[in-house]
Amino acid sequence: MSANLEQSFVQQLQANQNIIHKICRLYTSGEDEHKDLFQEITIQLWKAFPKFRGESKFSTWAYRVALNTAITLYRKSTRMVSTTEYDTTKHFFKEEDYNYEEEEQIKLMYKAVHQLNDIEKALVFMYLEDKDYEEISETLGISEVNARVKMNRIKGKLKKILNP
Amino acid sequence: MEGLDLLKKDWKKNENSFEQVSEKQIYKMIHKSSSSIVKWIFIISLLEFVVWTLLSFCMKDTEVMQKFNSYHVEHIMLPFTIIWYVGLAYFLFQFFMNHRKISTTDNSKILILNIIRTRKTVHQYVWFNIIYVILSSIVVMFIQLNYDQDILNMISEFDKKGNVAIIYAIYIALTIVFLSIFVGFIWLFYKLIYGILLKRLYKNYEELKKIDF
Repeated sequence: MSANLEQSFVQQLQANQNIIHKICRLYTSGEDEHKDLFQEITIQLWKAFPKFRGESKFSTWAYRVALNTAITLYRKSTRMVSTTEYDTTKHFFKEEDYNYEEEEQIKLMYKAVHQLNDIEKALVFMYLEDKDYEEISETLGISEVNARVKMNRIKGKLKKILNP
Repeated sequence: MEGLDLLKKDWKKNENSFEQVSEKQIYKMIHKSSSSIVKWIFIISLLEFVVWTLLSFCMKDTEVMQKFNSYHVEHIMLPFTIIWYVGLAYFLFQFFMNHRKISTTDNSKILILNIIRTRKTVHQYVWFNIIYVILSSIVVMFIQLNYDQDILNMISEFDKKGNVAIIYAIYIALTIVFLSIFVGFIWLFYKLIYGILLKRLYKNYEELKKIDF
């Protein structure tokens, strides 16, 4: 593959890398795993890049490949024993808007989302990313109506996890 | 505000809080090799094709096969050989075609289905081989009972004593036991491989199917 293609890919990925980080945040539970999944997604994006024609935005295209990698292609390395389990909220709070009760709730929410299965996490991810149901249904290959129904069920499930 | 909306607020607020990966690091990453499930499935499947094919070729030079050739039953064995080669060509072709269809830009359901299809082809190839072994064992048994001089002598001796049925029963029983052990072993082996490779894929596929019904 040409050097130009490589350069173009690296620049665009660098600019859009938060998409991948966010997916890693939902699908992994440690810094090592985060890095591992980030790398696999990068490789899969690079492999698919020659077919990316620029008809859609790089970010839209990257969402799908990255999510697919997390749901289907990624195999957690068995070698990797996560010693540094990270606290998903640890660096999120600035002192001026520190709200203990809210922080606790958000922590619990992250924990609850981590207990969902791969597909449910994908739906939650796209919900958090403000994707409309049309895009959610196209990305996962399910109908729009059923995506809505499932999303409501997930909300219910999360409530149950939080208030057993 | 509660639940997911509270999470969304936090999510938005902190979407730029990640430690950034540099262009140099990305360059490094894209030159590393993937450890994806598709790659593993591809490697393991190719290995299976090679092992099963090699097994068949190795069989050709064994003493049993040489003895077998001395019966001059090519007219019976030729169709079997042709079927075996056609089968190998068909399954290899299917496997590569299915593998090419795997694309991370498809929707998740189609992607998972295409990966599972690739595995199914290999699974079918294995069954093709198992059925082939069973059928050819039956044919070999039939040929030996009719052409092998040692066995024919044994049969006529038992025949003189009036208990020829015993020799047939023993022969058939031995073949069945051997085939059962063989099939059982292969079945167990594949349960294990399938379990390791496809468990998560099947689980996610079932989940997607469940959503739509």
